[in-house]
Order: sequence, then structure tokens, then C-alpha cells
Amino acid sequence: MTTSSSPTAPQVCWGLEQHMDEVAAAIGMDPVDLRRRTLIEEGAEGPTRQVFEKVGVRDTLERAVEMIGDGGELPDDEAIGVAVGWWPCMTAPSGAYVQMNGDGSATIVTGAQENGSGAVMAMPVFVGQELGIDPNDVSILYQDTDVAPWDMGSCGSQTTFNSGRAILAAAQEVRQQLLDAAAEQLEADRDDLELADGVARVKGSPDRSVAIADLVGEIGTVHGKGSGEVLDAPSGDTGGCVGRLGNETFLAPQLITQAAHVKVDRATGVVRVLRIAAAHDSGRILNRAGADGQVLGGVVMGVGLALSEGTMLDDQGRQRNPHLLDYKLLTCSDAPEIEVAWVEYDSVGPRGTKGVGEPPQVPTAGAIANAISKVIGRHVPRLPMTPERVWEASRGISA
Amino acid sequence: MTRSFVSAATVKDALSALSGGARPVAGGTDLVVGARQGKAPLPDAIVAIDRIPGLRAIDVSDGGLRLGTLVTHGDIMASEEIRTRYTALADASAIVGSHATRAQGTIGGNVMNASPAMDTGGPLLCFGATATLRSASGERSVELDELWTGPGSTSARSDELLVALDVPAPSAGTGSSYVRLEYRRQMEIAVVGATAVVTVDGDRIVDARVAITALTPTIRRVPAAESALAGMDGGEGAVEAAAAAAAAASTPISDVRGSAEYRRAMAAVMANRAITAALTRARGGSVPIPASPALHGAS
Repeated sequence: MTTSSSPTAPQVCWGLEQHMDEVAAAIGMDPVDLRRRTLIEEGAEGPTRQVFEKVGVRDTLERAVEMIGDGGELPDDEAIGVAVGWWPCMTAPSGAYVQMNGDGSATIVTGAQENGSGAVMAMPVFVGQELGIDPNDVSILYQDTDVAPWDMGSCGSQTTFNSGRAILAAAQEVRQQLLDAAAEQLEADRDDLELADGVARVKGSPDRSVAIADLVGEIGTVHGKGSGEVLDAPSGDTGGCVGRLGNETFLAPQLITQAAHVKVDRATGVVRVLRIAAAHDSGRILNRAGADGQVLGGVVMGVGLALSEGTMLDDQGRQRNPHLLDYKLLTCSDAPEIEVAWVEYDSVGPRGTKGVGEPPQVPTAGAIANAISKVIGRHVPRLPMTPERVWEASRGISA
Repeated sequence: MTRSFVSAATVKDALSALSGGARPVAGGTDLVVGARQGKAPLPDAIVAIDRIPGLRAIDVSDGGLRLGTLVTHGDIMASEEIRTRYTALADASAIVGSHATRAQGTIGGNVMNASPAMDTGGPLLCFGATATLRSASGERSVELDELWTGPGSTSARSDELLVALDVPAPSAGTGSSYVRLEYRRQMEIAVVGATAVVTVDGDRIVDARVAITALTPTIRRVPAAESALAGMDGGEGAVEAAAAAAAAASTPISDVRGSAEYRRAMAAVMANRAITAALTRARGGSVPIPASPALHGAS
């Protein structure tokens, strides 16, 4: 079995969420209703006595179920399955510089990098908002660890959560310098000033303003550095059975419900995933197109993990399928229709954000597994749930 | 490592290169991929035949169909004549590899590669195609079941070039289909495949040909399946008996693509679907080309 992101989470979620469906069946309850009764809500106490703040996991369940429909009219070889998952926001040190340029534009220097996921998309937005300039006038100098302060890099769904915090702190230093200079130049009280549309101006008197570019020319050197305060995870009681697993409490958890509509060819075990409804709580969304893209990509990887992507080894540990003919990635033709919804509550992250990158493939395999078992009447005991394994399970042969 | 590469302008040039020990290449989709995967090193001497004029024609006459060796899968799937009268062949060419493979890969290369998993093999065999092999000393015509002698091996001599495939015209009332097990919708290779070519007269099946793919060392017809259908009305019982015969004739291997047990069970499923689709087409009903993806999910 493989994983390309959120290591171990899709596999655990696949097992756990099938168990939830089995429990629901054993007590004669609808699996969605069981989750309605068990998912955390504000004020609830977790297994390590953490009392939860407002999080949107129940909202994600309702949104996903609403988007996928109740499946009442489906043919008997199709079914809908639901799975709920989570992924942590990892808290870590980070640092960044922001400097103003003579033309009123700004440059961010960060050790984080863009690796195709849009991880740095939030950074110019943060700086633009803080300094009252167009985010398009903010460039990023990144990936040069000789120049930038220490950073984990773009990984672990934490780039916005940690680097974003550092960049906001650096931008706030610059903001103070600009406001100080503007107060002197406009002969106004600093607290009466705002930075907007590329100028510093007196609130309510837009004609009393000075261009930020002119301020920079006046001051000469305008730059800030920041790290921000590294957040601690809430404390919890580590005495219990989940106490020492490394994530005993949830800091700004990213929460997800996905519902999968699948069609199973009972005679062959071939499964087609027709639709996925994905509802996510990743805190406040800064860039909808970028965030949606993360979900679309993650879900497709999740479907591959669920159905076809598996590393096979011989008894000497050599890979038996070391090429893409027999290590089967999904093709575009196999990708399901994917509908995305965001449930937005403020988090402790910068500007209310959490991470986005890894959660999208956490519950996909679990949702597909629950749908398959509704059609064939049994759970498939291994990942990936290949046609042969689905066929075996449907005939009661254990793999 | 290849030491000599020539591009032949005529069949004669190609034949003379073959006599000198060169191996032919057309689309290169098997030769190059196989070498990269370590299946077989590239030959010492290669003669490219892809620019020889006249070898890429699809000729249709009352007697049947002649496919030049350089006809691509893309050409086959686009040919209205083949889609109408040799539908199983269009089914097969339409699902070979990827778009790029279908644009580049030739029917001649496909046949001479002699893979037991080749998609077009079952349809060609059931339609009774013969291979025309030419050498400097003359030309001969070989039945496909005599051409394919094992996985990757043929009875052609090393100085012979496949120049054309001749396919007799099917009788009126013939319908055909090729169906393959597909784990995903594109970029697949046959794990199990089945071909059916049936001729009906009213309700009665007057002739039936059934072949299995990727289930035996070479693609072969299943006489027991054919006799289970011939003379019958094509009802469920006869189709199931023929499908069971196809499974019984299978001697599949277990590998990363599936166990022998699963393949044998799928042989019956694919044969059943191929026969059913061929009957539907023979009776004037519609099954999309390619049949395989359209039949997936049918329970």
C-alpha cells in the first residue's frame, strides 16, 4: 500500500470508519445518525479531557450528506458510503523577512517554497492586507535557505499555519514603521491613520494621504522580521490509552467528511467511484480556487489508494510492480465528479486559517469502503481494494 | 546496444536488411518499451519500415479486408468498414494502450509481437485472418494459429516480413465483440479478454467463434464454446455453457495482475459478455464501440 500524503491517516481512517459502520449495523442505527451522535462539538470533552472549542466537524457531515443525496433511488449495484477524518495542524517555529521596495512594492523572504501545491499563496495576501498594498505587488524570494531564516519548508499541511504567522509578524513590524513615518509627514495622530490602496491616510479624510512609495523613499530602509508566537497544543490527560500517541490533544484540527457514491460490478469486483462529496473545515479559506484544487487532487489520490495503487514486494523485498503499467495510478477517465464545500470557523491560526494540503485524502478510502460493503454485504479486508479482492470478499473468500 | 539503424524506402530494401540480420521496427511501441523494461535488449541492427509507401492501406473488397502491416490502431478504430463488419477488431484497437499507442502502434507489430495479451489477436483469429509473410525468396500465407507458437514467438523466419493481414468477409448476419477486464478506464493491458464472432439466421446461431486472450500461452479459439452455441437460439443457457467452456479451456498464470483462480472465473464473465454483445450486434442491436467500457458495471 502506498501513501503520497497524510502518512498513515487514510489507512487508519479506512479501518476505523468501516468499524463505525459495523457498530451502526450491530445496533440497528443509520451510520450517518451514529456519527451525528458521536462527533465532537463545542464544549465536548475528548478522551484526554481536552474541552473542544468551536469546530465544524458536524457541519462537514451534514454538508457532505446533503451534497451526495440520500441514495434512496440508486440501482442495487450502487451505494453511498460516508467517512469522517481529521488531520493535525502541526505547530512549529518559523521565520520570515518582509522588506519594502522603493516603488511601494514588497518582498517576502521565506524558507518555505512553492512545490506546486499553492502552499505560499497566502503569503502575499497577508502582506497586502497588512500594508494596504495590492497582493500582486508582493513578491516572494523563497527556497534559498542561505538567505531566509529557518523554516520547516512547505510540508505537513502547516505552511500557512506557521510561515503565515511569521510573515504576518514581519509585516506588522513594517506596518509600524510606515505608520510612524506617515504620522510625522501628515502631522496626524498615528492611531488615526490607515494603510489602504497603496497610501497612508487619515481615516475619514482621504485627501490627507501620502503614497507608501513616497514614505519608503523618505525613510530609506523599511524592513521587518518575524517569527510570531509558536502555539502550544492544549494540555491533556496523558494517563489514558490515547495519552502518549503524539497527538494527545487537537490544536486547530482540520476536519473532513467525505461521501462516496460507487458502482460495483459484482461479477468482476471492478469498482467505479462516480461521485465524491467533500466537506472540509480548514478554518478560514484565503484562496478558494487554490483550496479547491487541493481537495480535487487529494481525492483523486485517495481513490487511487483505495482501489488500485499498491506496492507489491517479493520475498526478497524487491518490488514486483516497479512501473506504471502494473502500479496503477488513476487516469483522468477514472476521476469521479468531485463536489467541494468549506465549513469556515475561526481557528487559532493566522487570520483564522488551518492547513489544507493533506486532509483531502484522509477519509476517501474509508467512504469508498463503506459504499462497497453496502453493495456486496461484506467489508474488503485489505487496501487497495482491487477488483480481485472485492470479488473475493463478495464471495466470502478471505484474502 | 544498437549498432546500425537504417530506414528502408521499399519493401525490397527492408527484406535485404532482414536477410543481413536486422530486426524490423514500425511504431516502436513494443520494441522500445520492452527494451526499457529489460524484457529484451534492442537488436544490434534495426531496419525501420515505417516510411515504406503502400503498407498503410485498408483495402476492402467483396472477398474481404486487407490490412497493410503499417495500419495503426487509430486507423482501424476510425474505419467505417471495420466498425460495421469487423466490429470486434474495432473494439480491440480502440482500447489498446493509450491515445499515443493507438496513434503509433501498428497491426503488423501487434501481430508479430505475439503477446498472449494482445487485444487485436482474438478478433483476427475469430475472423480467420491470415498473415502474408514476404522474404527475398518469395511470399507465403500463414494462419494465425500457426504463426503464434508461444508468448513472444512466431513461426516466421528472421528474413520474413509481415506485409499484410487478409481477413475473409464475414457472412451476412454476423455480429462480433471483443471484451476485456479493465481495472481502470484507460491505459490498460488485458488481464483477461474474450472475443465472440457469431452468425445468426433468424433466431438460430449458424456459426460461432470464441477466442480467449491472456489465458493461454497463445491466443486461441475454444471449440467447446463454439459448439455450445452453434445450432442454438443463443439463450442464456447456451451462452453460459459457452462461457464455462471458455473458462475450462483457460490455463492462466498467477502474477501481479491477478491470480489464476480469479482469471479463470473472469474468463467466463468476459466470454459471456462478449458473446452477448456479439449476439446483440448480429441481431441489429446497438452496443457502443469499444464494447469493453460500455459493458463494465453491467451485472
